[in-house]
Amino acid sequence: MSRVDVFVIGSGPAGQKAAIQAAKGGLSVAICERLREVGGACVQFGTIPSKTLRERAVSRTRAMRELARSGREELDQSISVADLIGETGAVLKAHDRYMTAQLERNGVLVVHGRARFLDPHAVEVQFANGQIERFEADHIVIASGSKPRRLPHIETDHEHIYDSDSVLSLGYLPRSMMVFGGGVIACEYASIFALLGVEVTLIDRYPMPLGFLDADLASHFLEAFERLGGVFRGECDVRNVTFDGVSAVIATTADGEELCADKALCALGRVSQVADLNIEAAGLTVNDRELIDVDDSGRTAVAHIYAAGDVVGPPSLASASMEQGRRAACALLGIDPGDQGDFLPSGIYSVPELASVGLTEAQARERFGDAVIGKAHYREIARGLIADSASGLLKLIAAPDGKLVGVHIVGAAATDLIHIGQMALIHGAPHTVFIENVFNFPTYAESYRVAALDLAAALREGGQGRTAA
Amino acid sequence: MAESATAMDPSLRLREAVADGSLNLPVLPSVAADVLALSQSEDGDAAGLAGLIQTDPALASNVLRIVNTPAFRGAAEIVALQQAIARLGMGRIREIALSIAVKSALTQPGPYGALVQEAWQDALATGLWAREVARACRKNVENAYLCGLLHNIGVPVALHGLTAICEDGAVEPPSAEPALSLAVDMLRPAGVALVERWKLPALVATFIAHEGPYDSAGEHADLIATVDLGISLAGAMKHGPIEPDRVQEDAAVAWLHLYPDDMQGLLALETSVTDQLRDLNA
Repeated sequence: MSRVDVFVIGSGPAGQKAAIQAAKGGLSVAICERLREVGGACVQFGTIPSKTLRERAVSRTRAMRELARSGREELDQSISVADLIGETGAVLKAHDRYMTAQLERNGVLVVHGRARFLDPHAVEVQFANGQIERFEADHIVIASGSKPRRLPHIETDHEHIYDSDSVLSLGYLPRSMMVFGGGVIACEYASIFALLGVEVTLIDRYPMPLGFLDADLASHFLEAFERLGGVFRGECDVRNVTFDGVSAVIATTADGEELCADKALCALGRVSQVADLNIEAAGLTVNDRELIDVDDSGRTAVAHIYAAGDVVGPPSLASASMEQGRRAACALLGIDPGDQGDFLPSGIYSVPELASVGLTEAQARERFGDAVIGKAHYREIARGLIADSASGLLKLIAAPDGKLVGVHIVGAAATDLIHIGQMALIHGAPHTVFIENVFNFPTYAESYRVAALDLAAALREGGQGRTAA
Repeated sequence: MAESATAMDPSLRLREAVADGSLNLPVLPSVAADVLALSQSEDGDAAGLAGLIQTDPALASNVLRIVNTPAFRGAAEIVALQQAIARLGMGRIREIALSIAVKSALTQPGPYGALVQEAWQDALATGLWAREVARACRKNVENAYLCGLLHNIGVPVALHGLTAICEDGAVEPPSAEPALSLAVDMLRPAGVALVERWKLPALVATFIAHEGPYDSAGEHADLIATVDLGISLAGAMKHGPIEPDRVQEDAAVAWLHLYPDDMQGLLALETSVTDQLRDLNA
């Protein structure tokens, strides 16, 4: 039996930050990871691999386009997924080394096994070799993450029909692929595979992919996806998906239509991974969405047990999970975690990138009765033209009184660029801050200035900006 | 004097032939090469596969024979390749066709027929198990099967070479035990030579050539561990139902981080693997 001050279940973004914060607070900490490497699904199957794959696909495609343009070589479409995944593997290894070193540096004990509550203060860890060790702790943080949602009408076999955890095991690029879902994971993979030359059909029951985003961003994504050759089938109710036993995956819709492709990816969301934790032994239950309820500090119904990350539900972003983990550790340490504010950015690593912070135009209109919009298209920005990334949009949303309430970006560097807008929102800066101050030139950040000028014009005219028409 | 000694010692001649690239290698039937090429092509389709297999009547009839065995056959008899592909899927038929073709290339009559047959049984069983391990670990299923099937191909290749060396009657072929020992010793270089000659995927050569701990295998470590576990499971099932404790301690299990219940899930497939193995050997 081992005893620690804090026992953290799961070494993904939430668990890792909770463990390190608690260790920095002077507590003895153990972190339990069921997989071989630390980092959880974020590192093994999710955030890191998919983003790495995207980066490789984008840079290779760009390099090949340049070669073809210079006439030195034909555009080679035969990019091997195995090659791309191989490079991803190196990134994962490096990430694992870095994170393990960080945990060790902070004196966190890392155990690789499956945790299971025995009582509110005791956890049993089963190692891969079958051995079992008991840990007791004053505080426990549940950060066991999520796994792909499995649906009874989709027979995921990881050979023809993949989920988001297995899709990167694809050995070669299929000619065609159906992607089920219209959320972040579905759109990221759909656009990456479309960029790699696969005929992708994105199938969802909603009329637009990424419907939670500002409508301009969702439209821009869809147009870009279709330019890559992708097809979106919205309002499509898929009733059955199966491998036909020949060479195709067949999806049957509610009205009897059969859609087919070489491979399929089921990306219809993820569900929390708590079933094996025996949380009932700790006096906990899951809610009707199979999530663990927590208060603002991450504390569960049992005072000394905290939860963070995907097990507590949306936004299910790695960035948000890290902060939830840190705040949970601050709470158990009894220290003030500081003000988080309401402006949580989100980034979607599709092709093109999308990023958002604050209210969408529709939300602003609903809240304030109206909204003032300022837009900058990358085609108006020198950096966009130089970098051959002229397809992009930065959109500022202001309340009728001119106060900035939202920033939305689609295009190159969107996920980095959004933080400028986030800082402006956090500090309540007026849109004029982007006009009256100097940005490096040429940069994508210049988009803020152009959009702010557009917004200023719209305010003067009492309505929409010039580019919004 | 030294040259004469080498000429009279078949094991030295085999080592020399492997080293200088003059090893007598079996010829891959052209249809098998085409089937393999189709499997690595984006343009492969069911009709193309059926057409290819039909170009070799012996292969076609063997495929039909196997798909009508209990492990593969459904309620109705399968009478055509297109029907077989429709029933079992293009990937499975491709695997069956490739297995038959490679087996026919390697299992020629000769003094080591029994050894080759045994190596072939191990290869098939390993391929089938490796496929299931890969599925359980969310690794590439097709690569695992191919590497499993060919993991020990160097053994029959070396025995084939040894047979060729002794064919002129000038030297006596070694008896089974030293011949097998020599072939196992030559497994890697002979296997790699064949893979290169047959233009099999480079991944297979990398897999065969690897020696040492998993963490020295870079990006291929998981594939190697997957096939290694396939080898262990294939070996364990020779002695009757697999005892979980026998394989749970395997280094590959630890590397792949498979928990006891993961292994129980795998072992539950033993009957299915046994049935497929029996029918592939039918």
